[in-house]
Amino acid sequence: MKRLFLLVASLVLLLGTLYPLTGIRGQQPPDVLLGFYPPPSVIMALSADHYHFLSQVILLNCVFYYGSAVDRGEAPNWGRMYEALFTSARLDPYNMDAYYLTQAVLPWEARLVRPTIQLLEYGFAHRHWDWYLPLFLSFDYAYFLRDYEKAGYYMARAAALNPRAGYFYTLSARYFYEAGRTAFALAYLRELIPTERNEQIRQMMITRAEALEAILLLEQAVSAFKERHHRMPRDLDEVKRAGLIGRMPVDPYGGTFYLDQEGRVRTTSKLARAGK
Amino acid sequence: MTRQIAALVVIALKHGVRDRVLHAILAVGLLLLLSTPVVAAFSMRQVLALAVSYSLSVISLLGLLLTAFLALGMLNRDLERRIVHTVCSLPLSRSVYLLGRFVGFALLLFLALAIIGAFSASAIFMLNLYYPPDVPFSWQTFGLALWFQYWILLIVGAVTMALTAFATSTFLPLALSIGIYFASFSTEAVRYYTESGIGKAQTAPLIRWLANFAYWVLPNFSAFDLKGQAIYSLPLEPRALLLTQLYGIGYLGVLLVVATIIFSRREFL
Repeated sequence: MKRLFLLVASLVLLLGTLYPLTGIRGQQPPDVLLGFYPPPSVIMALSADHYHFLSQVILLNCVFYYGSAVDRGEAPNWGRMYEALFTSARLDPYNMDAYYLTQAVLPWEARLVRPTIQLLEYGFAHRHWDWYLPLFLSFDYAYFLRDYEKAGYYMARAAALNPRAGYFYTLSARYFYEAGRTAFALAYLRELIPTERNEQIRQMMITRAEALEAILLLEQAVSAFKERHHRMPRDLDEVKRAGLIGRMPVDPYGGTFYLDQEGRVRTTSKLARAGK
Repeated sequence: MTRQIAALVVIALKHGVRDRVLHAILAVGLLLLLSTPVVAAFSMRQVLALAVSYSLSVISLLGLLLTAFLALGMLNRDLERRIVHTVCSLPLSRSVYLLGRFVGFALLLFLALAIIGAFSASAIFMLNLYYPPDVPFSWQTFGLALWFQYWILLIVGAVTMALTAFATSTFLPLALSIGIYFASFSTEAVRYYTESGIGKAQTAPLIRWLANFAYWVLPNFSAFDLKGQAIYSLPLEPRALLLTQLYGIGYLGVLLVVATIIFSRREFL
């Protein structure tokens, strides 16, 4: 009888306090949910062979922290979130979830572009087979930093790792062209075209190469005009009238070539077929 | 001698299989492993990798508990209940007795890890069907990770038995074994750091000497840890694996010989 009474009393105490306790715990600042982590070297030394799993635990804490903060309409503490993701990646450099969350959130909402790039480059040094990481890096360099040379470099790496995504090759070439390295972009595509076995991808690459060939020709003519006349031409017709090009090259995408305000050769097609 | 060891092994196996604490640890382990799909579902991009990571961590933790319980219990129980007095009065050398107990422990541990490993493999098999990774999962690497995990625990068990052979309390061998287990995963990294350019500049010669000493004396469990390779199907180096296995056999041999020497000279009060 006594035991039954004790059991019932204990259950009442337990269930009676659990609900309000849940409410109080739920009001804690998200920073507390994220946790405070010692340096990765300390965690590794103390965790024996469990650091891979701990990396995932820290990463999951970041996911829950971000979700809680967004749910409350609060801005997460981006610095602490980056530190936690950094710790997770250092514990397990192959942990793709850490890099995925970093890319999904930090450059967009926190504008932590360079720290994101630093972490992704660290990840790519280890996950050298993973095409997602150079794809992310290429995007970040192009979209956020307008560093098209680095964007082209990483997109070329992604293309090499995932040859089935044919547009990676042509996008790499575009990035090199945007970086002012049209000749390099053309050489890159010409190297790859003979070995490409997928006919559709091969045609995409050939079309891009033809466009870049035309652009390169015009760029060389513009350079020659500048050297001769010590000024930039007003438009491509002036270059043609100067006898530096015979027939105006044809854009395989159906556009018309022109000179932009910075003297770069552009096309109205933007190197894409209309409607695609 | 072989028949004597075999008899001791059979006794150890019978005893171990009937032990309720062992059943409880295994039951907890199986429950944890059944939770593998639930835990793995939290991953955004690598469900199978998280499942493998979780499974191997659970197996490692449970293995450590089993080792502490079995290795400590095997010898300590006989000492506390004075069973060893009766056994040693038989025409049976103390060394053979200790070796028999160790082989019994090794087989029990193998059986327990095989059961837990089989459940873990089932969970991973199912998840691999639904969430195949970009790099195909390597069952061979997973099997080798379990095998080398077993060898880590064998060495910890031998350390425990060697310490129990001369200790008069239960706590000291347990605490030291667990301490050695954790320290042995760090000795390699610490040594690499103290021998590096920055490490040499920043650490005192005494610390560097201690780091080297610890590396050569304690078992280098980092070499046995194939979790990363199993989780991400990373390539293995056959030469390194062979050397690690031979190193393990050598280290185990040294520990067992030392344990038998200590146990042979022990005074039973």
